[in-house]
Amino acid sequence: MAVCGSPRWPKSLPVLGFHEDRIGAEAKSRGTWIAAILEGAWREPPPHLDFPRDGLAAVTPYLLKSASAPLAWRRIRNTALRSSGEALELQQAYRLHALQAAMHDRNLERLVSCLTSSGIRPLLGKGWAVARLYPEPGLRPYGDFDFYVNPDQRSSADAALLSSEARGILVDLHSGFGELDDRTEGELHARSELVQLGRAQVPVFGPEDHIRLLCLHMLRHGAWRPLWLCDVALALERYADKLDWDYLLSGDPRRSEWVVCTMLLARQLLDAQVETSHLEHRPGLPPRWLIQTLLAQWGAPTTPHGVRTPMADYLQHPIAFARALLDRWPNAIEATVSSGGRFSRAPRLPYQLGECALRTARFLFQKPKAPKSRK
Amino acid sequence: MDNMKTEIGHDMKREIGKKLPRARKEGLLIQELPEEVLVFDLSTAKAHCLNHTAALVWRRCDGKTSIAEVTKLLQKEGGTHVDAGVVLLALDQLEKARLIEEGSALSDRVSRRDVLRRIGWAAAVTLPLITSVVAPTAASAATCIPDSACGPSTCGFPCHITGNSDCTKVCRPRSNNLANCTSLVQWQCVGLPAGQNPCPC
Repeated sequence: MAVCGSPRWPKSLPVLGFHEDRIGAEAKSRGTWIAAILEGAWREPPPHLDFPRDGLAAVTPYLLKSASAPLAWRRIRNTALRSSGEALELQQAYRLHALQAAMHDRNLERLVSCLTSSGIRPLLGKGWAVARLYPEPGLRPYGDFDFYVNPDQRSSADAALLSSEARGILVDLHSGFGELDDRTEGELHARSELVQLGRAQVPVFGPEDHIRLLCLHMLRHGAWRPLWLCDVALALERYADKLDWDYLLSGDPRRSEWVVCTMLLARQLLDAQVETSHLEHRPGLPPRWLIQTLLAQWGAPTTPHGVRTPMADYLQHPIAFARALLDRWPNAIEATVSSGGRFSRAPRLPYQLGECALRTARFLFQKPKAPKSRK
Repeated sequence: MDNMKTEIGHDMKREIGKKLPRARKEGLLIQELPEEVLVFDLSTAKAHCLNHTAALVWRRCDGKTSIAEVTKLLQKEGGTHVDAGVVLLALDQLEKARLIEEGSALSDRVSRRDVLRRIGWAAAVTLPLITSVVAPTAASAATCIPDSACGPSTCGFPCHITGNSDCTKVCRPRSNNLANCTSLVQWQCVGLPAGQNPCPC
């Protein structure tokens, strides 16, 4: 039974590398609370949770904003916290996402049939491809379907998505294989899997490629969604027995280092049960700044990418402009990944300044950066 | 009070032998969850959440099973006495939520208050309950898509230009004079004046 209101800390905290007495101030960090409530939430059954009521009140808005509410609900629904007002909000979010999951299933069946009947060989990643691994529908919300196709098939895929069957369904069609472009298309297809969904067979990335994609995608976006690290933790546990580690960590060495760091983060923050022999011989990883940045990002009240007002709108309002600039200050993770830097112990400020200068230049010249999926 | 109880009792006795109506199947999206069942009515875009009792009654609505049979089933599942009024109340709520086939609903109505009077407040947890859920919409489901994802299938969706990270624009074709949206059309992520249709094709 949960001891609500108790100041006890979850067991996972000491693995952060701090002494419990020393974390006093940091213990108030919402990011740490979020890590604690999401720890193991994907397991069947989820681990027992001791979580204080005030902690839940503090993190609920952040869980809702980052689409992590369903997992949090799963974690608290068998505790005394279930009757709290925050729990009701989390439960309602879970219901909404569960219904959306049913709609997504229907849509995906139609999409796959549309694409494959036109001779397209797509691979599905993230979203549905990882949501299907969770033990209940709706635990892993997503908005669109990320299909990856050979650039030569892009226009045919566009045409296929024009059909009445596919119209209105949100698809993020990637021309090429994005973060996985250090693998050949043949390799990706050879290791892919077909998942039965109704009458359709959905082609998804193989486990190693998918884990790599999930890690790199999370880092590229500054790891602001805790759900992304849950995806990594879940996939690692689900595929534990059959992972080809040599292949998973092959390819671009810098990216492989980032992937290792993400897996270590999943283990340290969310208690992911990871096969450690492939991760142990990496001294200094993950660096302390990485953990701190991630926790701070999870609990930060900043507006995430994709829903911000354009900077140009603030030009007439100096105070709002300054505030918006602060809001856009790149976190150490995205700044490092964006510039292809190492996850070393070195200070991150140069990367952040560099990223900031690049963004400013882009803003001044109004020349949007080509997204990776277009490469 | 006693008179009212007797009157309700007579009504129930009359109903208990009746067959359950048929559940509506068409135009519904059903999601079974560990503790409840969610039903999304595609025709009205309304979502309902059926608790365990309401879901059990709804699943048995086949036009053949009798109210008495379902009552027994509920008793067996819960291990306690269940009043037939519970089933009638579930049917009443299912009908109001339009989850029963039109024309097959029972004619008599029963209120929650009447049933509570009969079974007592202690047994209220067994009562069927159908609540409304915030219905999913394309907009709420959609993350803001990058301009690279603008295309025929995402016409009108909210989008952002990568690098600026705003989400005040929509995907639309470059030309206004289009009979059909085709893959040959150039797509863009732009801000539009209020009231202008982003998808002229």
